[in-house]
Amino acid sequence: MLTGLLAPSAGSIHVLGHDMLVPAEALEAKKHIGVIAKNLSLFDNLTAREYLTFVGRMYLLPRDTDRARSEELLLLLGLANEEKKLALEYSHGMKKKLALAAALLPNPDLLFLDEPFEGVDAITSRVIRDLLAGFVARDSTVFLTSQVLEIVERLCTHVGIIVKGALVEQTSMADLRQGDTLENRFIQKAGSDAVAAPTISWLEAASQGTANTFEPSFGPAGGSA
Amino acid sequence: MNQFRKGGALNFIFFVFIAVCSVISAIGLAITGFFFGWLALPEADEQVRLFVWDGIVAAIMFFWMIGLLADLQRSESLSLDKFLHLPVSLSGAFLINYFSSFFSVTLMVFVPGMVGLILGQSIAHGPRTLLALPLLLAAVFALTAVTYHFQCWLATLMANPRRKSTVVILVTAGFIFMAQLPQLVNIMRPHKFDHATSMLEIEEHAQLTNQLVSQKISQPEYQKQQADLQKRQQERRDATTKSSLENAGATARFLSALFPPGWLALGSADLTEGRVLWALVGTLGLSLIGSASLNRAYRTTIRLYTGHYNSKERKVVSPLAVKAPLSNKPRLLEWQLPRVSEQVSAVAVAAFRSLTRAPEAKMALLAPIVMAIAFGGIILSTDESPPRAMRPIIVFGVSSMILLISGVQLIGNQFGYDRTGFRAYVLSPIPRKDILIGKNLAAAPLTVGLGLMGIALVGGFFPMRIDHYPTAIAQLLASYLFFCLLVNVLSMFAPMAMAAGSIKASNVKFGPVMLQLVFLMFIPLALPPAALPIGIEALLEQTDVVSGVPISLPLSLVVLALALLLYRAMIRVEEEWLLLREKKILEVVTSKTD
Repeated sequence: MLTGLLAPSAGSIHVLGHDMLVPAEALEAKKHIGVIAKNLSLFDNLTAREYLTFVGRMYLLPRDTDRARSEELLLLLGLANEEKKLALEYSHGMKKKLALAAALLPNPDLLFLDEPFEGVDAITSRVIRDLLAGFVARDSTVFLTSQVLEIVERLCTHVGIIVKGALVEQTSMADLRQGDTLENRFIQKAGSDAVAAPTISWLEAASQGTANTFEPSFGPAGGSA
Repeated sequence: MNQFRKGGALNFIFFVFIAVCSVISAIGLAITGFFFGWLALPEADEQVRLFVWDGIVAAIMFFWMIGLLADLQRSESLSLDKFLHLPVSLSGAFLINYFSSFFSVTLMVFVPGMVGLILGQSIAHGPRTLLALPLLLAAVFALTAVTYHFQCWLATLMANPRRKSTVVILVTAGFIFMAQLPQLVNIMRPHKFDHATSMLEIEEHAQLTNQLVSQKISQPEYQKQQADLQKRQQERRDATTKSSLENAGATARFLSALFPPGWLALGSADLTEGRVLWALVGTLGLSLIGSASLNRAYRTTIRLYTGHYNSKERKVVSPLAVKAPLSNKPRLLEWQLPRVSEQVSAVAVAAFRSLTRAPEAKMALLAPIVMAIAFGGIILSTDESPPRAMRPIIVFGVSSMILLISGVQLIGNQFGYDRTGFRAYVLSPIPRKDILIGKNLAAAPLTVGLGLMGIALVGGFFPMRIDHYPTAIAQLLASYLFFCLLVNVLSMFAPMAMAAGSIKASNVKFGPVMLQLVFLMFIPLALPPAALPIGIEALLEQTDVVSGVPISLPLSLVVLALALLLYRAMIRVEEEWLLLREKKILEVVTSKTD
């Protein structure tokens, strides 16, 4: 809703001082924001460079600036050698990287990232984290949405918790944690203080029946362990 | 079955209906085939029996081709990895998959019919004709094995979506053009000899009547000569028919021997004449083809699942490798189109680039080409040229028809082809009218380009007055502008999700389909305003008010200018509609593709 991808049922939305429900103001706000949507927004039949050129022109970047920034981003994200590959041939990780490059290209003031680390390998994950750190260092804002609380805990300074569509908490990370882990605090806020360990009766019975003979093994032949 | 379950209740009802119809058809064809083979076919000539069998084989091949096209369009093929987690070996999974291919409507309908025909023939021609049964078995084996091999090959293409797209286009285009081959009959006109014979007969009768009228012969003599003439003409017709039948029979025999599916027809027809050679050769040949296909399919499967299909080593390029500096010349995606904004240009060239690479767009453009072959065949088969006054109207009709057929598919669902890319438009900070203008400009080189080719072809075959050529171009451009205004609305209010590489809309809903149908009725309304100038000119010439004056050219230019003004005004209205609808469009076009 904040980025204009979903229509709100009620209420008002202001992004960077612009009312997102007024079309003209929403367009003005969109000039200053970058978005990596969860399901991305790539054209199947364009190459990475072509897509970045398209995005740059949407934001009215001069051709030389568009070219220079695209080149730099593609090199940094390891996509520079995939000149002839179309987006439909990309792996999920490559698509995520291209989407990040497109979101950063216009040098936005506010970056929305929806699960940016989902399906991304460790190296790419590090590259994205470093890029975001640099982005934040120049006083821009990153708005990150994630179900992986370890990532949120490591990257974010402020947290909002949405439970069943309602914002139940919005504060700084330090205020929320108060010495505890984010996971525990999140579970408390989400209303599930006592999370019972799940059990499956027939599995329990089976494991008790074979308890005397079962020996855990972590070698190649120990697939059942 | 799983696909139908996922398709919902309506699809399931449709499936049950098709299944019941198939069973009824199969039983009906088996009974009909039996009596036809027993009572009717033995009375026919040897050649006719071959034609009947060839016709059946051609029908099977036609439906088989449609089945293969459907397989190509499927975004998820029935692959072995859906079985391999079960306690079943690879060869077991392979066989399960292969035998499942027997449950096709084509086989279930045609095989009982052919079995009935063979049994009927065996009563009429003796038990020797039962040798057609193993021949039929071999043919079914070959057909299913080749199909399965084809499906395995398709599965290997999944690894490379771009290569798959190319194959989808080539195979679809190949099949469509093969289906158009009968149009060659129109162009080659083998029936023109019949026409010449008829003309000769009419002339002979006329000469005889003239002799009677000029009293060169008496009435009794006329009657006698007319009877002789009729007898001679009947003999000539019989000889011509016999000769044609023999020629056609020889051609059918040759073609049946040349193409393996024809071996079934040749063997079965020959058995009724007591010749067993082709039945035995056909059985052996088709069995070998089936075995070889199945063997290759199995080896392909093994290679696919042991990772030997993508074993080509990737070229490792250092990220720090020095790259050649980019040329300063603008690349296609950087082109600035004249008289439009930077953002309109960006949308236009990006959408054009996407369309030229999208197999679904290329397949959509096949429709007007096929239409050109079909109508071209009919037009070329006539001896007489259309009158000169009609030619500008014919040219307008052809170019408009091309515009409608190609444009409805490319612009009528212009956001459907974007899939997740449409999200980029929603997120972008550009005025929505720029998206619509850019999209309309992107499709123009393809749709208007084909229309111009239509003008050049028809105008080349049937030359017009020189001013009618620029008139036709102005009319085409005006039609395109009117047409875009209408079809833009369709694309906003009845978008459909399109899977990559498929021209089949996915997740089809009743409402948008009905809206598309209603729109299709109204879309021809885009054409009359552009046709008005040639209508006025034709009217003035018919009423002898003016003649030979190029009235339609300046009038067409005026209409074009008016169309431009209307487009500029209306696109602002459509911009509001797009703003209102963009989130709904996004939801639809990404529904099956995310």
